[in-house]
Amino acid sequence: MNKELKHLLQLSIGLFLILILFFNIYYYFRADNFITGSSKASQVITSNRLRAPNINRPSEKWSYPKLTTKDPLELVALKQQNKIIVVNTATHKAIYTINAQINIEPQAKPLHVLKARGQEIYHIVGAKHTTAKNWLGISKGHYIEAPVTGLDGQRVPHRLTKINATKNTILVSKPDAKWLQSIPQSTQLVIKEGK
Amino acid sequence: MLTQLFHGKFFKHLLGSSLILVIVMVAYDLLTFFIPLVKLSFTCGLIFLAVIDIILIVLKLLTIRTNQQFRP
Repeated sequence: MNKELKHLLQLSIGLFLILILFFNIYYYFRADNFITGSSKASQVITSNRLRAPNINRPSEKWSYPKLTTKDPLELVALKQQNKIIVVNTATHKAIYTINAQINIEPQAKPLHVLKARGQEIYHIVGAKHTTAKNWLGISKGHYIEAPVTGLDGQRVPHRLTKINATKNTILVSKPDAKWLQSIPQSTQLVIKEGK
Repeated sequence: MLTQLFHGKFFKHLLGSSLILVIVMVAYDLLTFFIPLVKLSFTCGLIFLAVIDIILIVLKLLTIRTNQQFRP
């Protein structure tokens, strides 16, 4: 290899490593990038594995973690960031991050996952209705579900962010909604404003 | 100084090292799946590349200037 090219390569890779180091230090020190109650490293890993929001695909480019009834879990919904972080409160680690459209206002007290869950649900608004699949009941009349059709009777767009809001619901993708149905009853759901 | 830079092979070598740096960045992004390092977005990667190239050009210009000053 040419001497100048070799030197340029060594310098550029060295500079890249220095920039990456400072970039990581800056990101980890910014408190508003993270939620409390789970390790920053686990939150970074789960957000690195996120794919673009799509109602037909899982949120992460990774397999779903297997849940047991013994796992103490907490769902933290960040409204502005359109994300739900699933936290194992025993190990204080984020185990999965879900792209979501959160149509519930931040609450003073946490909500709870109910025993009620099912395959199909309808939300009636006047003379029209929306349909959704794989729904999970949340306290105070809220739901986590995967939208199928909107108020116009048409199938919703693939992109989760372009779907019209359905009041008192959290909209997630179909695979995510199916996985969330395995969340144990009485799991806390905390809704925060996010950034 | 600048004409000397343009006539030489510096920019060819800079392009070569930049391409290898892009491969290193892609490898880093793949590594972030397993290691809790912050992922580089496309825009961030471009900014990093531009900053590194500007630093390398400045260093090269300083080297040429130093060589010219010390030429007998």
